[in-house]
Amino acid sequence: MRKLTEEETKVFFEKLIKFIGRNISLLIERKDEAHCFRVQKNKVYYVNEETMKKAQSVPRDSLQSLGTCFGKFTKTGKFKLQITCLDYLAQYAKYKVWVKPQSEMSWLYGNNLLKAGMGRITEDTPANQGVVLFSMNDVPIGFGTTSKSTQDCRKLDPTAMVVYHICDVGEYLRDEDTLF
Amino acid sequence: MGVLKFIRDNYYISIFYFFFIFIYIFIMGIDKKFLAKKAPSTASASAGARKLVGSAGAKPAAKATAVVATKKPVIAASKKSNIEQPKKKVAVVQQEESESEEDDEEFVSAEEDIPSDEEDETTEKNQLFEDSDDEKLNSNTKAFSDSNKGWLKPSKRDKDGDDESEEEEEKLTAFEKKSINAAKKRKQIEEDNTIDIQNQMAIDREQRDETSSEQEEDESEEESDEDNVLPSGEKIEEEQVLGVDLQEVYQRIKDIINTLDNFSKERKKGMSREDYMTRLRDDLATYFGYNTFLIEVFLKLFRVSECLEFLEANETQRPLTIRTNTLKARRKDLADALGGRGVHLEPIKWSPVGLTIYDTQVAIGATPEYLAGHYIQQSASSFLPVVALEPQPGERILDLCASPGGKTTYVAALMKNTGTLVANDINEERMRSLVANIHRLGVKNTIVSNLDGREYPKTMGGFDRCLVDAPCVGLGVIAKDQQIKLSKSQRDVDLCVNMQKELILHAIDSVDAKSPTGGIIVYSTCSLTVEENEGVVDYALRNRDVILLDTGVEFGVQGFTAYRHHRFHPSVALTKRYYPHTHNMDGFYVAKFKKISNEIKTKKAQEQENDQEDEQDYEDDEEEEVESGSEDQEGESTSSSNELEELTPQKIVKKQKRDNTPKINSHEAKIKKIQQEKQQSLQQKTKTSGKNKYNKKPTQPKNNNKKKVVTKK
Repeated sequence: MRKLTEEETKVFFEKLIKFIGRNISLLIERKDEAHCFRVQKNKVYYVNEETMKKAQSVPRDSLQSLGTCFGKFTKTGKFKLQITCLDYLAQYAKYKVWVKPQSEMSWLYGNNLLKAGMGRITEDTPANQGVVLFSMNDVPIGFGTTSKSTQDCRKLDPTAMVVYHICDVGEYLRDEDTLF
Repeated sequence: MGVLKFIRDNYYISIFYFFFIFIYIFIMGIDKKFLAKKAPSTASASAGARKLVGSAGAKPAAKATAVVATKKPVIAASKKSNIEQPKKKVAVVQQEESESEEDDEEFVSAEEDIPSDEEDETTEKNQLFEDSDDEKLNSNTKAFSDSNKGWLKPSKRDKDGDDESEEEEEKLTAFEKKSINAAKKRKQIEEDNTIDIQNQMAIDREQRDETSSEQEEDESEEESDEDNVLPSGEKIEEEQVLGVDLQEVYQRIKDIINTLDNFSKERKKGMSREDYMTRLRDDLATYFGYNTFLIEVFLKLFRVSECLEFLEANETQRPLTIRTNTLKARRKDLADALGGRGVHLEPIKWSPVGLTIYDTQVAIGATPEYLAGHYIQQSASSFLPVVALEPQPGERILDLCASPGGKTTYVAALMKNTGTLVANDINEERMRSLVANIHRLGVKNTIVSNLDGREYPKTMGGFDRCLVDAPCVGLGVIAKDQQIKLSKSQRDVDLCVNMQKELILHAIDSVDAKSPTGGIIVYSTCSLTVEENEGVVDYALRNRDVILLDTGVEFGVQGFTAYRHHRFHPSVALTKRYYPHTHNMDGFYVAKFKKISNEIKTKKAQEQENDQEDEQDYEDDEEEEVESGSEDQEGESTSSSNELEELTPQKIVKKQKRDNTPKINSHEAKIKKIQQEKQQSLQQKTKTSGKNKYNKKPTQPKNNNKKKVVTKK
């Protein structure tokens, strides 16, 4: 377990900013409890400092997880967000998309979101923007990238793709073996 | 002689005959095995037919069951159905017999009065031999005088032993039919060879002797009111080769249990309870598919009737339960959401977060709510240790055996994601599901470590609470995993017990007794053996300064304080057991400890304690007085001599015994005592009163100063 290097921090934050923008500062400087990011076995964990200190006494090899996992660094040095960070993304997300109940399952199976399945979308969402997807009763179900801006979406036909799939909560079932 | 002559005269024909006979036996045997395997009912029918051959069969049998019916209508009904089926077969066989054998007609009519009951047959050898003699006298050997009877007995016995191998015994009907047919054919071919036929009939009769003797037994059993439920040795052998008729075995189990419940009345003379128990054990093992070791364990644990209930409960699944994740959802909202998806559910009454699922149209482990972490599939029994643990927000809590995370996430939910929760598990394979569940349910205060539980408190200590859901043989979850039925042995239990004892000591050591809010250790297993449960708890009580608290769950059966030769600390009654057949949840055991101080008893002190506990019974009052005197001396002196030190605990316990102090002390009283103790040790061990003293306490101050390890925060 160690702190992120500068390089890593840069890559990681760039990715995160795509979804939560400036709210990232809220994540780093929390008012309730001091939280920090830590790297353990290529994975980035977000954890409060007290827990982090206690985790230091666990041997590195045996430490499987602490706090919340945000994602992992690939071998090429890129960062990949994982579904486990959804709680925080949903909390601080700038742009949101709500999914109609009939398209919910399709999304949970890992498909992209079609126009027909989109219930609502945040105003002024630009194209290629990271968005967090919610079901119509405000339960976060994943995140992705928009293909079109909000304005363009209105003109699209129902079968056109609106949000490209990145992660969905179905991965807890599908990828349990590789995810953790 | 006739046979020999015939063989000599018609050598080839006789060879052909024997060959034919052999083939017939073989075919009948296969037929019967097939029947027995294919359908128990038909098997029982054929079995019935076999035993009823030569007798009037159906009618008397019905009579017999009617007699029984006055007592046990249900059983009688089932028997009737068994017996009525064979009617036709019996009738056919009878016809054949009456055609072929003139003598037999008498025989049959004589036997018509004899009721038969296929369930009730035992070895009453005396009767067996007498009957056979009678028949011999009746039919064939009329020349024998009564004085020959005695001489005939051994010969009959020999015939039983020699002529009929095990296989032949099993295929009595087959052999009979075959022999009858053979006799017919012989009649047709050589009508004049009457001697030969007579010989053949003699053989027939001998075989019939056996069936009739069985019937005779049955009759005797009717008389003694159906308490002879034990099958004969033959029967057992037969079952071993032919396969068993499960209905029959079940009936027998019921009968034996009835007998055992009213043993003095219903028992058969000469049969000990042990005989019945052995039979019951084997039958239960056969019927439910367990190995005998497990059945023995259960029979020791439960009354026989309760044991049957338990085993039957293991054949059905427990209701599916889920736990609401209070970090993300409320139970009512969740119930509504799932109800909208076509799930029939109902809240668990004793738990504020549990839901029982009765019927569902969707996969309960793949709904959007599940994926969003609003609930987790968790058996009702595993709520209990967490309820007992009573986690408080902001505490440091250790879950020593955490996978797959049901209890861990429940603990975290009760902590409201504050404080620190360390979830440990030794198994790397199970780590994934643990981490996955923790993340899915949005638990953020957790450290997950993949260590041997015995690495704690070396790795980390000073926890406020600790949950040990120890690895166990799993006798409470047989309904979930049927493999347990056959795979577990005494060795598995011993291994688990060993592990559990180590784990619980490490768990206790990991907790800080000085914790302002906690100092609680909860020990739980999903097993039922006393060794794994009360035994381990008692071991912890002996080795660490802990007391048991009430688990805080209202229902449950209290733990054993005495089990066979074991005698546990009286407070073990505060622990709780849960059984599938009484609580409709997995078998479970929960014990809640409160840690009093951080001291660890050394082996030496403990051995002494154990020793003198054993010796206690043999001590004289005189000795005690003498020793109490010496104790006084010792109390005054601040000596550090080993001899005196070793003597101390013994004396005190003796004294305590004499005083008849109540052993269960309330928690507060204990703490007071400890404080008193400490003061006394500070005052250079002034006289100890010896009264109202928990037997372990007195040794502590001393050892504390000298050799005991003190765990520090």
